[in-house]
Amino acid sequence: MAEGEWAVVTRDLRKTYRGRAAVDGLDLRVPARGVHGFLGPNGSGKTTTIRMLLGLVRADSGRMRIFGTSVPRALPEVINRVGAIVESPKFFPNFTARRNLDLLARAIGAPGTAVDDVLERTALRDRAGEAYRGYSLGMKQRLAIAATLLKSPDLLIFDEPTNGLDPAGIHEIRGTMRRLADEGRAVLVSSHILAEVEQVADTVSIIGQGRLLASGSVAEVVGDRAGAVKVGIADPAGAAQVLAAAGLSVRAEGEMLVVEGENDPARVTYLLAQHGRYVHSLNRTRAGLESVFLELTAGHGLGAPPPAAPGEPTGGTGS
Amino acid sequence: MRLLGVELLRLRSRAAIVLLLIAGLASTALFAWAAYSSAQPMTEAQLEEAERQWELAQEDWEEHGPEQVEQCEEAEATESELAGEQLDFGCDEMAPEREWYLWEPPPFDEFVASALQSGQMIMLLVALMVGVTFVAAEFSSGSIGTWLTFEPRRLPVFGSKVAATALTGLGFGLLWGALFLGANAGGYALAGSEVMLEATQLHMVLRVGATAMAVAVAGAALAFLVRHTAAALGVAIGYLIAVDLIALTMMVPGGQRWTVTNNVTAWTTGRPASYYEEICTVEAGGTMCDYVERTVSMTQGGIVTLAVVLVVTVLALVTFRRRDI
Repeated sequence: MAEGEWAVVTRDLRKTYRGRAAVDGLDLRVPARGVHGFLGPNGSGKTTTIRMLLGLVRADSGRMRIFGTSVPRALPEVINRVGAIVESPKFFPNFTARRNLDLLARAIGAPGTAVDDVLERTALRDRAGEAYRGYSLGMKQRLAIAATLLKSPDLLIFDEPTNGLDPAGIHEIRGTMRRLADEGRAVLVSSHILAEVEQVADTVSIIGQGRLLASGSVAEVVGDRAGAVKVGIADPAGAAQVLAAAGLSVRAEGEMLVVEGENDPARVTYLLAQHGRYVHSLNRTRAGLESVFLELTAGHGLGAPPPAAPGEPTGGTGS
Repeated sequence: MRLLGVELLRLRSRAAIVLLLIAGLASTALFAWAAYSSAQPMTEAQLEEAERQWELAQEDWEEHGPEQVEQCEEAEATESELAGEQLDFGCDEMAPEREWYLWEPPPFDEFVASALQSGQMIMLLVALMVGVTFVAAEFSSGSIGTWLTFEPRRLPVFGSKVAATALTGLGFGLLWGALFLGANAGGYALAGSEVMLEATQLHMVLRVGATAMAVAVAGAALAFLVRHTAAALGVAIGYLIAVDLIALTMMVPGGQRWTVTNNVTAWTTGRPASYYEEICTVEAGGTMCDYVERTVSMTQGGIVTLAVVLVVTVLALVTFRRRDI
């Protein structure tokens, strides 16, 4: 794919704060369609990267492009294709939701109906006359999404969008992201809550200490990494000894045994049966993003392959 | 222009700013009362008492005047000899005069200029706070970040906010100046004193407008620099105390010529702002010190005020363009 066909491309992006590298040579690629999870632990450089893309923070070095346009130099040319919520939603607390949106709409010369339209789409129309400071966190998040939609953007950037939300709010935001992506937009969502992103993301990039650790589709990143087999058996302690003697990694989890790094339940039952032990329940759990993430950010991922060059498939570490 | 329109709308929508402006304009009513009190002519009883005092003074002068003149002339001769030059103690001007006892309200234009010298503090404070709070609120609420995701060009963003502040400051200043003048004229007229409205007073209103605009811009620029209302006001007040009041007034010889207070006052009132400078000379008899009156002209006041505002604004622009948000 040519660079212009990606929503976001960064090359060797760097930013240092007081001698500490917040972003350290980051090469990021976000497809022009679908939800892209931008994952990393707190302090890994996600927000700094997003701020650099939006021109809020100056990069020390490196290149950034949004839909092929070099940013921040030519950011004004492409900004109307980008809607972003950086960290928490930030509006004038004493203004109503409508007034906050109205000011933004006027700034970009949006049509007069745009505010009503986005209020309708985010189900805020009935409460648009209330001051922003009285909004719940979920409503604030919806208002922020409404603001991003004023521009009919092709790329939406959500930075930790579910922070502080209750489960219903998280579900709603997830649904919104999916819907926006299904409309043909690119949605870049940064998060450190992996399970949440795994449910909605088509592709992911995992970063740690400001560097890309893995990138690709969720399936590619997870790849054929070993999962675990959960065993229910009458004498867990004895069974654990048998499995450990066969070189497997076993731990107790309540009344169950978890055989880690083993994808083949048949091998577990075979080993146990050889010693006259029979299981009464057996579950195989596949490796998830979380386990991949923990593995990568534990330091093993620093040697992960770099992302594919333009025109090549985005290979994940797991692929 | 679109951004400027949005900023003016944002400014109008800020209840705190609107209340501040209304309070500032309402404060001019106080000057009507001050003018009315100052313009009251003497009552019959006061006139009678003044005439009585004048007659008593005349009688006293007839009795002791020649003796007092003699003593004065003796002292004048002695001091002149010591100083080595002819001194004038004003011994021939000691006789009491009738007008010393009959008070008359000052001419209207003089009173207005003098009232403005003290009254301008309210206008300046309101203008400063409007500028500071308008910009600082964007940083403290974080909405400047949201704004920049809609308009990332920082120069137009800065320019539109400063221009909106300037226009508001100008409008407020002109209105405040006109109301101030009207309040004083009303007070004078109510007290039965003569009110002469002249072109100089119209010029004064225009200068008040320009001053309010400059101070509002300076306030906005300070807010861009320090990003917090309290911090910006603290810097402004701290500057007045540390630089104007302590460094330039007490520590730097001739420094009062460059204080913001003297320069703004000279510009706004249109009259030279005076201050006293201690001049010491070493002579045979020791060090002789005297206080000499100096003035800051209106022109200098205008130039210095403009220069200060320009420096702060340019600093703010450079900082805002380079700063991470």
